[in-house]
This record gives sequence, structure tokens and C-alpha cells, in this order.
Amino acid sequence: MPEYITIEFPSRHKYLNMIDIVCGEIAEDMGLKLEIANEIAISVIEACTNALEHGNKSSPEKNIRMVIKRDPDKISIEVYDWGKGFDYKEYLQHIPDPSDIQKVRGRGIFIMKEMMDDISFELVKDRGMKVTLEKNLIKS
Amino acid sequence: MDKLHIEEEYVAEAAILRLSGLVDSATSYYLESRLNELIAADKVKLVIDLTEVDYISSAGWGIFVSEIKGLRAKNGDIKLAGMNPDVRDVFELLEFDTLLTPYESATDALIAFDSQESNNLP
Repeated sequence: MPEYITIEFPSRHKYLNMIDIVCGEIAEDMGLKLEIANEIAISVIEACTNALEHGNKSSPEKNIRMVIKRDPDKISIEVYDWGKGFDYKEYLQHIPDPSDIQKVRGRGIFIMKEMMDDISFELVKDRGMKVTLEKNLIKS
Repeated sequence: MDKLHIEEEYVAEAAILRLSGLVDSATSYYLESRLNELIAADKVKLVIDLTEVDYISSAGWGIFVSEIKGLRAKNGDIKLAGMNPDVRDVFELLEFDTLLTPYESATDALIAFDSQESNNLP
């Protein structure tokens, strides 16, 4: 049976550090390799940053919900915001070159896509955007 | 703004910025603002010592690369030194190694600035 861990927090940057710590604790509890744990934490922080800044427009009264699902062979993390979403199908087909020096922002999805085994987006009715990150696990 | 600290040292024409903590979307504005102040004061040879930096988010990386063009137009550059393996992994993932040469230490980065200077002598 998978285990679920749900965390909800206001859209404030200071809570991202807490999310990083939570990811580290869960990864340690699951016995994941440090490299895998780091890739998960980096991707989750990027997803939460997008939810905070783009989805919730940094509005602290809007919460971010994160649902972590632990399976023996996989971990998946859902991140929900209250935003209107974006054209993710178009974006995923034309992910910008990360080394483009003209762009200050816009590398988060590239990082998530490279570090996780799967990334998907869904606009949830009466809610907002949901990003799901999945990582197949290799035990240390 | 307590997650990122910047210490500065000036060696000849170069400025060394020793960062410690996290460079993320919350702290990157502070870093960007300091870099812009230095560039406006014609300090364009910048060494960023990342030895004490645990993590750089995509927003943080964006600050470094966005300054490259302006700095090089003024005969300056940005040199990143002392990246830990986790930071280096993302640096390479983002293909920034095609834009910036990483250095083991701030001293190595300063030597590289000196070498460039010597090569530019008539």
C-alpha cells in the first residue's frame, strides 16, 4: 500500500527551505541514494517556486498543497496552486534552450524534466494547476 | 534575506564575491542588485566564489548568465569558482559549461583574469 504525506503552506519563499528539509527527511527514511534525493529535492523546490510565483502570484493567503505518494518502487509528488495555468502542451514541445543568456528565468521545467522520470501538468477545475513529478527508485 | 550572505574582496581590477547559503528565487534579487551596482561602478571582472553555497535554483542561475553579455561587452566577465558537486551537476545540466569555465578556487579564477590581461597586451 502506498503512503501519502500531505503538506500545505502559504505562498512565502521562507517555506521552501522547509520543503527542502522535508524532502531530505523522506528520502533518508526511504533509504534513497544521495544523488536521487538531491534530484527530487531540487525538482520539488522548482515546482513549488513556480506554484508560488506564477500560480499563486506570491499571494500569501493562497496556499500551495503538496502530496507525496510513497510506493516501494516509485515516489510521486503532486504540487497544486490556485493559478489559471498555462499552455503546458505548447511549452513542453518547445522548451527553451537553457543556455540562452537572454533569458533570466524559465529553466525550472527543464530542470524538473531532466531530473525526474516523468513530469505532467493538469489544470484542475475550480482549483488551479497540478504538477506531478515522478521518480523511479533505486535503493542505495 | 538571511539565507544568502555576500562578502566582497577587491584584488586589482577584480571583485571577488564570496557567497554563502542559498541562491534561490527569494535571494537572487539581492544578488542581482549587488551585481548591477558593481557593474554600474565599472567593476566588470567578477569572481563568484560558490564554495559555501549549498544550492542554486534556476532563478539564481538565471542571474549569472543574464549578466554575461553586458560584462563581456565591457571587457569583463563572470567567473564561477568552488562549486560543490550538486551545484556543478545543475550547472552542467543547464549547459552553462558552454558559456562559463568553472574554476576550482577563486585564486584560479583570478589567475585566469590575469592571463587574459597578459594575452591582451600589445
